[in-house]
Amino acid sequence: MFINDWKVVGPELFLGIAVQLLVVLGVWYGSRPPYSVLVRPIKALSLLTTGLTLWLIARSDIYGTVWNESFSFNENARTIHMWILVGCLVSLALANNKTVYENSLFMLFSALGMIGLAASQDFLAFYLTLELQSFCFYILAATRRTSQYSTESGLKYFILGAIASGFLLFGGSLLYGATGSLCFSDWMLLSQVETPMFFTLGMVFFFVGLLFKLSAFPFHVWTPDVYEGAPTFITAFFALVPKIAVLGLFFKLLSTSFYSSLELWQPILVTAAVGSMLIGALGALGQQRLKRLFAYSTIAHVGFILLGLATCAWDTSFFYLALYFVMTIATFSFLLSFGYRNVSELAGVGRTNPALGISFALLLFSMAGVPPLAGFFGKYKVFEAAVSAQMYSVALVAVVTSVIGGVYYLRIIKTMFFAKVEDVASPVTSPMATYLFSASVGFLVFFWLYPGPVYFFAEMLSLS
Amino acid sequence: MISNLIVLPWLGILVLAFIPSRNTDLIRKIGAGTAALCFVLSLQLWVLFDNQAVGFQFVEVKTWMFPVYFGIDGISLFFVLLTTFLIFLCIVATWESIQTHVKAYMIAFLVMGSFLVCVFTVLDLLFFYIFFESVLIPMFLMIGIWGSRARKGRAAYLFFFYTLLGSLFMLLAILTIAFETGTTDYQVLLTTTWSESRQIFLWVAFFASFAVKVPMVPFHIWLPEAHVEAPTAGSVMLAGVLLKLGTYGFIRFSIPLFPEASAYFTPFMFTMSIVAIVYTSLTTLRQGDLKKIIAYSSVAHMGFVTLGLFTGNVVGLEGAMMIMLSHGWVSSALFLCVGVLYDRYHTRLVKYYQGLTQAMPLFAIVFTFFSMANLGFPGTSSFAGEFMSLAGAFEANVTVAILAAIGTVLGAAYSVWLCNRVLFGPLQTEVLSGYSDLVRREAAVFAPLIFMTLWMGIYPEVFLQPIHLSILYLCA
Repeated sequence: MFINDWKVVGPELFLGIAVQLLVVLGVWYGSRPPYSVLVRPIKALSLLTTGLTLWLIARSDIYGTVWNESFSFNENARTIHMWILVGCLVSLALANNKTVYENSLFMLFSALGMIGLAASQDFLAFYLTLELQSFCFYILAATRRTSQYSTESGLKYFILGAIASGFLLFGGSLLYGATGSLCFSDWMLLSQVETPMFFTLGMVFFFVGLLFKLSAFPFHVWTPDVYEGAPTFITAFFALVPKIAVLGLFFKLLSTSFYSSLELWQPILVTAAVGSMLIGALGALGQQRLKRLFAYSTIAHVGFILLGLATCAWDTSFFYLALYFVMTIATFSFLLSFGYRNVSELAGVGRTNPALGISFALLLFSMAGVPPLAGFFGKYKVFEAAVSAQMYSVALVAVVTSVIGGVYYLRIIKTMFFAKVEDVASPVTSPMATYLFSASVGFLVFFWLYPGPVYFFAEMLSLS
Repeated sequence: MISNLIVLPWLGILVLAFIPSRNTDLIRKIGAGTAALCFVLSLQLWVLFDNQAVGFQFVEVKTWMFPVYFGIDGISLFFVLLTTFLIFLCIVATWESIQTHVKAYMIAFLVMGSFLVCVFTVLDLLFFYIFFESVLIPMFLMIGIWGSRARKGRAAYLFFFYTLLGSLFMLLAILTIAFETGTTDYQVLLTTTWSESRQIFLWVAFFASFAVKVPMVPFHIWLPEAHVEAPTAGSVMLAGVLLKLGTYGFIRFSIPLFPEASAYFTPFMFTMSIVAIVYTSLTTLRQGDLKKIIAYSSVAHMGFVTLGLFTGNVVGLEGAMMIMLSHGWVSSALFLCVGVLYDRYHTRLVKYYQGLTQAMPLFAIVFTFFSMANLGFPGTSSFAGEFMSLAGAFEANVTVAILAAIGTVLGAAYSVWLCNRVLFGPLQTEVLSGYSDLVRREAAVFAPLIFMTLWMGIYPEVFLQPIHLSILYLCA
């Protein structure tokens, strides 16, 4: 029994031990100058560790629940784990930090946390892994120690995150009080019989925490500041990876534990979705800083993902997330490879470097949801879900916000192509990022010719 | 056959991608060659088209997530021809006036050509929407990059958002259809019937998209802006083909899929059409920019098209088809005329031009010819179309026909007055110095357009034959 549990978590065990060995390595060699000597080897070793874990998970065919049903490793969870690790791999590859080696290690620690989060089957396991992930995030946000903005972003993230965790814990305790159990599957069984007031209240508090982690309305306020203050490759990590783990867990909770109280949470999620779309679309309109702009666009995308959840169209959410994942890789690899910060810096890029300009324009058109680019299919599927659930007014709001969203994406395109050329220099700072950028834009452009695999992937994830 | 027409431009693009962008002459030749080949292929469609067959011809199936059908009937045949013809013509007409980013220009044109052929041939609502919207990307970039003035950013914006906002409503309607019937296949949907209230809802959603594209009067503001700021070839494509996407949408989707709603909204459409015809004709009289004059007159002509479309009888519908085609040659030719002037003097303001007949006799002949065609002079293609459209309207509602006929008088007023101002009077030597008449390439561009205009005006039967059965089927 016990031995069997360890077999199931073999890949996670490997990840945990490897990261700690890397920490030991860091402490051993990193405590005397020059401190930066370890950055490259540790990044390479982290990439290797992530890759090996990915390989181990892909090869692992032992499924089961471990440790008194705290974690459940099934095929679905494994797929999400691999997705998380791919996100980590990409963010590690994008990292262009030259001074602090700890970044890579914190990314790996938080990956471990997220893997646990996606597999958790019990409130305590869920909460502990969530905090493991969150603490790493707070440190990562504040990682550029000399920058005020970075410190500000870390602090804001920490304080607001702590409040959200408080809500989450309170919700958990209410749910425990109502059901007498911390296990998600027990909640499902008990909520089918009756849902006392405490259960509902607990569920709502639970949602507060999760919506905060997803950066959804009305708990989105931290997003622009944190995205802007953190170093760009950390922002990429924040935008790419945690959404996968949280969405995986959210899906599990909604489709099992809370499914019987559908009519209670549906309005909450619809409100959050509509609010996120509106905030995302309107907030980005006046932004001059690219990272802030993309923070708001993330909020809008999260709104679409939540609308999929709210209408019980789980595959829609995963499908949208998959496309969002690729678009985010493209966005951040663009930002990282050329070091652009403001919209105005992009003036004339389309004229001095047409290939780059057109690729980025295609990415933005995709985000705005113009067919035949990939982003359209995501939005189409969400609209479809809303129409199927008879939520015509919500679908209408989604349509209108995606038009408003088009305004700011087009503003960037306008700056790139139509504005007068001011600065010719756009040196490539990271070749790896440019490769990733080209590959992901290629995916977005040619997706519509052969969309089957992504549809299948989303479908598979939604069948648990 | 249709798939060859769709794939061929992409092969051209593939070849272009490997040619260094310094080699502009070769790039132009390859672009023109690809477009010419497409035109020849589409002519082949016309030759092999069976006038006696009901339904779609050259049907092809492509398997996507579900099977997607492509096919051509009498209605779409000439739109495909118009597209390939104008793409080729535009590339030749702007051989010298486009000097920056020639490669991107050619690629934008070929992409647009391919997407437009897709729009006119695809028999699936979802894919119609996809291609309908895709055309926005190359056109948006074309206005923005090769447009003339600082105002082009605003024009590109207006163009993009008017269309996007309108068509997202159509997307919601398509989703509703897909959700309720489980398919977006046009041929299957033709056999489904809807309750009248549902038809009205869907019709209005489709209307929002098509009315912007046509454009009908309260939604037309983007058109003059986009036309004025777009490069010559962009204007030609906008007027020649893109405006027809809206009217094509009406005749292909709104009328056959929602017949009761179409009947319900007929008085509304008549009113809108008359307002468009009279109001924009009056607006045209007040314009001082050559391109704006032609843009507003396009709106007036599209008013005749929507009038004919909703008469519900064969004559009116065929008249609408005729005007659409005729407008494809005539307004394109007029925009090319403006392009000829703009290439030489770099202004489009009417007040700088006077007495050009003395310096540019050939140009004066061409310009007068197309101005006459624009006002619907007997013997030109517009006459055939407008006459049939008005005859159809007369059959449906006499008052409407009489009110719409005012437009022909006003059309004559602005066209003749424009000719008068630009071509006659004393030559303004202090403003414009250095004259040259049409060069051989430009004359070669205008020749086929003149030929088409006369052919359709004198013997429209050739064009009516393939259309006839499809229209008859639509009215039955």
